[in-house]
Amino acid sequence: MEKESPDNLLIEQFKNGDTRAFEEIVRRYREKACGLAYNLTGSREDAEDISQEAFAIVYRKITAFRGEASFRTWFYRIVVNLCNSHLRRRKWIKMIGFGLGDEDSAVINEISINSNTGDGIISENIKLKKAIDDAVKALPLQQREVFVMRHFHEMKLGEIARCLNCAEGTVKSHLFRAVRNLQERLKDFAD
Amino acid sequence: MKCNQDTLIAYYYGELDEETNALIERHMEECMGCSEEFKRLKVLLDKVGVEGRLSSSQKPFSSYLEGVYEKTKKQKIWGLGIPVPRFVPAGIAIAIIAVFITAGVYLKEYREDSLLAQNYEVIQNLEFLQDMEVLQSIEELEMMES
Repeated sequence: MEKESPDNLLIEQFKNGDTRAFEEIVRRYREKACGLAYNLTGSREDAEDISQEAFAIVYRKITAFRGEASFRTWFYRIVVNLCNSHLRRRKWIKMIGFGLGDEDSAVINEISINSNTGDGIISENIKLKKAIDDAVKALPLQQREVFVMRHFHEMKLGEIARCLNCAEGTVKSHLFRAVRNLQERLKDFAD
Repeated sequence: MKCNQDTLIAYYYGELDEETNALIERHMEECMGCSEEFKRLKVLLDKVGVEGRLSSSQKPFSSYLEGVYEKTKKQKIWGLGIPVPRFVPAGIAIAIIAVFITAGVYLKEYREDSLLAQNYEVIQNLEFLQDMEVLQSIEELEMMES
């Protein structure tokens, strides 16, 4: 008999009404969900909000998880879908004309706060971080999704394909294009 | 084996089988171009890997979890399981279009009215001239008859 993974065990416990199991799932996946949402939306605040929303969906819809895919794949799919809706909404709001403020300066501020430079001078590392943020953010959505999942979250191509509900070949081609795009955009930092 | 950048990317991510990995390693020993290309690729992707991650969230776990439970309650209030906020931007767009159309119709009517008011005297004169023309033609007819 196949040994049950800890994730599946927690899911089963949660399905039986154990909220401590749910809280353990949140503890386990919080950083990953925030990271994925941040890499896709480029905003820390939105990332936190989206990840909480994703856990709220897990809480409400846990019965819909039948265990055909791994919990991670199912959960990441929820996060990616929420990010897509969020980006669509943001595009609409921008189109209608309610500007969201300068996101680039927000990124710079965020980076400045997180780094302990103290003297206010933007160091090389901050420049690099900003360039990477911009380059990843500038990737077309599908390329960004695949790149972020493969590179930052170390998901295998097959798992990404299941998560995005597309063929593995498509995932591969998005990844290759994303890397080529990044090489082009970050050629100044290649050495 | 032919030089192929995509294969190098797949090799970097460990997405190839052992046999292909060995082929690539042998190829890179012989091909300086691919070897250099792979070095550049590795340096760049390693940097992206280190710099591109989100540093850990600063919110304490308890308040984060509270936010999650808060959201589950909110979603129950929305009810029906329909992601209502998704339709809000579309609703706003439709409302704006409706306002523009209504304003357009009113503006058109207003312009017509103001044009009429501006040219009221001219129109009256035109009517007067038309009447004059009618009279003149009657007179001409009478003249012809006589």
